[in-house]
Parts: sequence; C-alpha cells; structure tokens
Amino acid sequence: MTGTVAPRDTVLDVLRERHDFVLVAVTYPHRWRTGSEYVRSRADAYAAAGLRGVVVDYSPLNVAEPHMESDTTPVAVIRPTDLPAALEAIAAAGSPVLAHSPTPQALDELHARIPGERLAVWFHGYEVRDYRRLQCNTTTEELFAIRHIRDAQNRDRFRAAAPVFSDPAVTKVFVSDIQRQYSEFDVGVAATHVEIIPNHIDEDTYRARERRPDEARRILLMRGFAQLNYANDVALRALEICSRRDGFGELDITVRGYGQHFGSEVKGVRTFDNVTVEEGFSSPAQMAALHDAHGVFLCPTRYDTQGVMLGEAMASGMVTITNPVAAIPEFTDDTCSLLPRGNDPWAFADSLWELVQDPGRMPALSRNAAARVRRQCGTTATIDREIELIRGLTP
Amino acid sequence: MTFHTPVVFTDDGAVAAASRSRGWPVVSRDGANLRLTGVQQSVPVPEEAMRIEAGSLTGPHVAGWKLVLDWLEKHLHRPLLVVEPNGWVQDLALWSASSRGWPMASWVHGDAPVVAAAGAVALVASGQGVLFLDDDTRSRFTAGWRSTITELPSTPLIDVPRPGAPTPSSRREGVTRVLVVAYYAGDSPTVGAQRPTYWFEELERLSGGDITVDLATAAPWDAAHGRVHHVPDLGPATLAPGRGPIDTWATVAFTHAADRAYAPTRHVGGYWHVALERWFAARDDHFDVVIITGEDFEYFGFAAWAQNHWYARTVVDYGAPAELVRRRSFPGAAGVQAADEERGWNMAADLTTAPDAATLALVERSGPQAVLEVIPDHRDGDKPQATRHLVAVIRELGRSAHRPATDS
Repeated sequence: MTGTVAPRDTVLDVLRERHDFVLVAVTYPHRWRTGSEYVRSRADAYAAAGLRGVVVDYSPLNVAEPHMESDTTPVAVIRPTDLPAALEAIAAAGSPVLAHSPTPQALDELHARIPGERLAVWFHGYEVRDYRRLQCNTTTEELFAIRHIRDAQNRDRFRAAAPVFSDPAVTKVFVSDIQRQYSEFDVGVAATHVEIIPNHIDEDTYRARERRPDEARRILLMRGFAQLNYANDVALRALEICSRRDGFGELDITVRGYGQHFGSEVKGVRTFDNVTVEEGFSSPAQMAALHDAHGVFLCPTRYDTQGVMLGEAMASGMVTITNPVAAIPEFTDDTCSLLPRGNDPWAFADSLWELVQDPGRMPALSRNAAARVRRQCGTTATIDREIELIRGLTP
Repeated sequence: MTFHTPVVFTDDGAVAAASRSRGWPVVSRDGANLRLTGVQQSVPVPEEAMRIEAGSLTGPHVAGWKLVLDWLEKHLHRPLLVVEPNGWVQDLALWSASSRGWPMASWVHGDAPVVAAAGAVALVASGQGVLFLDDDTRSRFTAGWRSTITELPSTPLIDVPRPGAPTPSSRREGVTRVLVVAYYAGDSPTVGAQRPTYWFEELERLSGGDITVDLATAAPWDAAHGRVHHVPDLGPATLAPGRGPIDTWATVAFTHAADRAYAPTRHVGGYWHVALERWFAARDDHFDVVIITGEDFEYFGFAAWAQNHWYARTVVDYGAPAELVRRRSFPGAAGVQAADEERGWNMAADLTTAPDAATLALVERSGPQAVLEVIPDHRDGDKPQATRHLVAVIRELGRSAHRPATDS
C-alpha cells in the first residue's frame, strides 16, 4: 500500500461521491499492520470484477488526521470519532455499505445513519459470540481478573447487534449456518434477512494436487499458537501417542506456527528426530509450498466458525484430519476428511494411524476435498454471491 | 501423629472458660490489643473484623493480620485456630489454612448461628471439627447442617492426621475413569449429596469393572472407602495463598463481585473450583469423564478446567431440584445473572443433566447444540434401569472414538 496523504475534507469529498461499494472495517491491513487480510482480499476481488469502491478503516490505532491511502481500492484512514461524519457523507451519496466485524459503537452509527436497504453487515465470529464459548483460552485466574471487562463486552456487543438482527432491511452475512445459530442464541434475537456466505478460499494460490498413498507419511501441522481453541495441543499429544507405535519413525512431520503457546506446546515433540519444528508466520505462498510438500494436514480445533486453514489445505488436495465441532461439519465430511471427536488426543492419534496404515484411501479423500472446497468456497460460491449482494444494495 | 494446639478466639466468657478447662489457650480482645493466655506480649487488633473480600489483605491491615499469625506461631506449637462462624476472625482462620497450612475449627455457643454464608460454610465444612458447649446447641446446629459434624476432642493437643489422597489414576484402555465432584457427600441427608454418594459407591460395581470412580468432596467423610479426594474449601482465602498482600487479580475479582447482584463467590463453594484445580494440577491423574454435581452449583465452572486438563468429557448435573427452583426465584438482576452464570458453566459441559424432566426444563441451555438429558435418581422408580442408563451414558462419553473415513 502506498500512502498518499490528503486533507480531511478530501476524505469526506471522496466519501460524498457515489461508489459501487464502501467497505467499512475496524481494521485493515497496512504495510505496518497485518490482520483482516480476508477483508482486503474481498476488496481486491470486487475491484477485479470491475466494481469501483473505497475502504473506510476506522481502527482505534488510527490517531492521525483523516487521510486517503492508495491501494487496489483506495483507503480512507479515519479515527473512530470521525466515523459519524464519514457515514453521513456515505449516506448522502447513497453508496452501498459493507461493514465487516463492526464494533458496537460503529454498529449503532451504521444502523442510525445508513438506510438498511443499503447496508450489509458481515459477522465473522467474535463480534456476536459469548466469550465463554472459548473458555479454553482463559485461565481461571485470568478470568477472575478480567471477567467484568468480558461481561461488559458481551453486553455491549449483544445490545448493539439485537436491533440490527431484527431489522429486516439490513442484510446480515454469516460465514456458516452454525455461526448464525450461535450468534442468534447469544444475542437472544433471531436474525432476519440473512445470507450465509463462507470466506473465499483462493483456488489459484491453493492449487489442487491429488495426493498419492505414499504421501500419508508426510504430515503437516501448521496453525496459529496464539489461542488454545486451535487445539494444536490435541494434535501434538496425538503425535506423542503415535510415537510409541511401531513405524512412527518412518513418518516425516513438520510443525510450524507462531504465538504465545508455541514453545510450551511443541516441547513434547521437539525430541523426535522425524519432527521438524519451525516457529514463524507463513505467507499464503509459503503455506501453499508447505501444503505441496506434505500429504496430510492436521487441523484440530475446539471452535471454528468456518475453518479457513482447513479449507485452504483441502483446496491444495491435502488429506485433512480435523474435528467435527462447531462449523466444521458444514465444510467437510468423512468422504473428504478424517473426523475424530473433538478434544481427544487418543481419537486423533487413532485417525492418523488409520491413515498411515491404510494409505490407499489418500487419493479419493484428496480429490473429494479439493472438489468440495471449490464447490463450497470457490469464487462462484463466495465472491460472485457477494457481488450479487452488493448489486442488490444499489438503489 | 501431628499434634496441634487449639487456640480459641473469643470474647465470650463461657467459651473462654470451656477452652481453658481443656487446656486450650485463648485469644481475647482487650481494648485495642489482643491477649493470649499465658503470654505477656500482646499485639494490636488490626481492624474491627477480618474480611478478605472487603480488602483486609490489600490495604494497611495486611501487616497487622500477619503479625497476629506470626505471634501465634512464635508462642504456640502448631496452632489450630478455633473461631466462631461468621465471627470477626473467621477469615483469619481461613487465611491461616491457605497461607500456612494450619488446620482450623469452629466454636458454637448460644443461639446456633445460621451458617449459610460461603466463608462460614467453608470454615465448618472443611474444618477439623466444632466445639459445642452444650447439647442443645449441638443438636440445633447439627439438625441444620448438611453433613457430618465432628466434635473437637477435649484433649490439650489435637492430633490432625496428614491428609491422605488416593494414588494417581492412570489412563487404561477399556476402562473409563470417572471423577465425581460434589461439595457434600457421604452421610449428608440432602438430595444433592446422596446422588453422588450413590454413584461413587455403586457405579463401579454395577458397571462390571470397566468404570472406576473417584470422588472429590469438600467435607470430610470419615467412613468413606477408597478413592476419595478431600479438597478443603477455604472460601475467599483460596485466593490468598501467600503470607502477604493478595495478588492484584484477586483484588479485582473481589471488587467486581461486590458490585454484582449475584456473584458465585458469595455462595457456598464459589471458590472451591480453584481449590479443585490446584489439587488436581499437583497430581498426575487421568479421568475420561468428570461429573460435577451436588447440593450447591457454584463450583460447576470446574468443568472447563477438566476439559482442558484431562481432555475429559464433562457432565454438569443439576441433581438438586429444590436448589434450582430456589435460584429461579432470585429477584431482578440477581436472577438474570444467576441464570447467565449457569449458562456459562453449561458451555463447558458435554452433557447437562437433571434427575427429572421438570428440573431439566429449568436448566439453562448453553447453545443451539446443547445436549440435555434426564439421569433419573436412584431413589426414584426403577433403580436398576436408572443405573444401567447412567452406566451406558458414561461408557458412551468415555469412548475415545473416531469416525472412520469412507472412500466415495
């Protein structure tokens, strides 16, 4: 992204223009800040489809005067306090507004200022989820110290979401149906005018290659280690269990990731000669290369609203071992993946070992997985539907 | 044998006399000072009453309370504090146990006090016993108590055996290791205690041997056989394990609990899940299924820890219908917050249960995929069928299964 600073009035002038879409996000990737790449990839895809839009980034980290930065889609970088004026300008222009993971305050402003017929709100997960669904991420002592903050977040988020859920004019987008169900349960209001559109899995970056039986011995665990809901501990304990079985030494295993739990979680497998442990962030290109070098992807989980990393591995044609919890059953089944029950290292180990001992099923699982991802999360099922949705918001 | 010296905190002349007749030293208030039988040195009264949740271990009084315990340690052989439930030094006894490992006990005289507050229940339930001055008080108090009451012996020194603990239970193929957690068990007459007691005593036998059962309880159960983990409840002192000021996170917890209409920590067992965590974190057990039940519910949050620590399946059992009905009558914000708290506990449950359909209807659902089920009580209806049903549920939960992949 190339920074191009313009005066505040210029930002409002830009927003006062009529755009094919205005994407409003609480965080957006910059050169100096990662995160929410899935939002930027949408803006890029819309631009590639010929839509002319603008992104409004109102991150609380933005402290400078409002300014424009150039990107595939131009980005208006504003402070959260500038959001009401920005929304007024957008509303006056009549541009469709696509809001991703809005803060409660932003959701209030959006609902108050943007006509519902021109507003679509993407809920990706945490914004409308009771924090206690991921209790594994917090120790009892931590929770004693912060629960008043978390409780307040619950209240604020659900209070702001409730009128939006029940407003039939506003389009609500969830990435999975189970996410919708949990969100409705936690907010306490049924959501009207809902679209279920998964996150896009990039078939060009993650190109399918059918796995051969002999690739059952090349195993990859690549996940974030920042939170325990990714359940890497389950897969790592499973490897320790497998290490006591004949033939374990013939496996070639890579463990890669980063985050606060990395060091402690990989401790048990570092001593194995056939396990390569690499700490670090992986770009999409690196991920695709690692996919290509392995046959089996270990993707344990305690909670996922979609499981994008699972989908990317499936798109690459990897044979995945995951857990049928939360939204995972919406995105894979036992013709594509092995599905030991959740939070169970022994079951996970048995699944892995079943595959190692019966590698003949690798090609079929690989083919089925790649085909399913393309069908369910490819461009047609995601970006094209979103573009259709955007056109529906245009008066 | 480990002998301890009972030291009785009282300003009541009758209690003091009864104590001295047993050869027990007495601490009494003399104006702004505390005096100990036979000891010249006195120490200042730190504040009107020690209340850990109200800040006694965060402010300027910490040093004063520490001095009191140091003073006792200096002049007595292994002190055992005997204090009045709900009294001004109740929390000092609890703190002496959490920070120094001293045993504690209570005295009851005159009108039997209502022991319902969390700290008082912790003191009596997890203490070494009670000193009664007369039979009337004893019978009135024990009639209202939920568990066995042990009377303190009248010897000058009291032998407090080192707490025993079962050997660690390890994972075994083909065997489902079950841990039943209940604040009260054994001789308690309450519904919520008899249910886990029956499970503990009968499940293993009725399963034919493929299920083993450990029990964790806060109240001592002298007649218990086998695998009982006695995990004392030290009330708010659970968050004060050190000899100095409590950690900031504990202060924050106390402060915000005080602001709430309903806070689990104000109810019996509200801190006990922390004690359970510490107890089992220090051991090397494995449990496949953890059932959390009992007459009180405030420790049901232990389910989340059990899932993380043992990869266990968890059952949160609302086995005491009257208690659930009582909670539903909490007024206003307290009722809303209590129900919300239950919802949070149930989010860490693989299965939420109750003894009958009417009680199950009162249980808070934790989400769209929540699994709720009636586990009939052994005292109702067809006892063998109820037990077989529970055995089947436990076997299913304990089965470490994976779904085989199919080629198609």
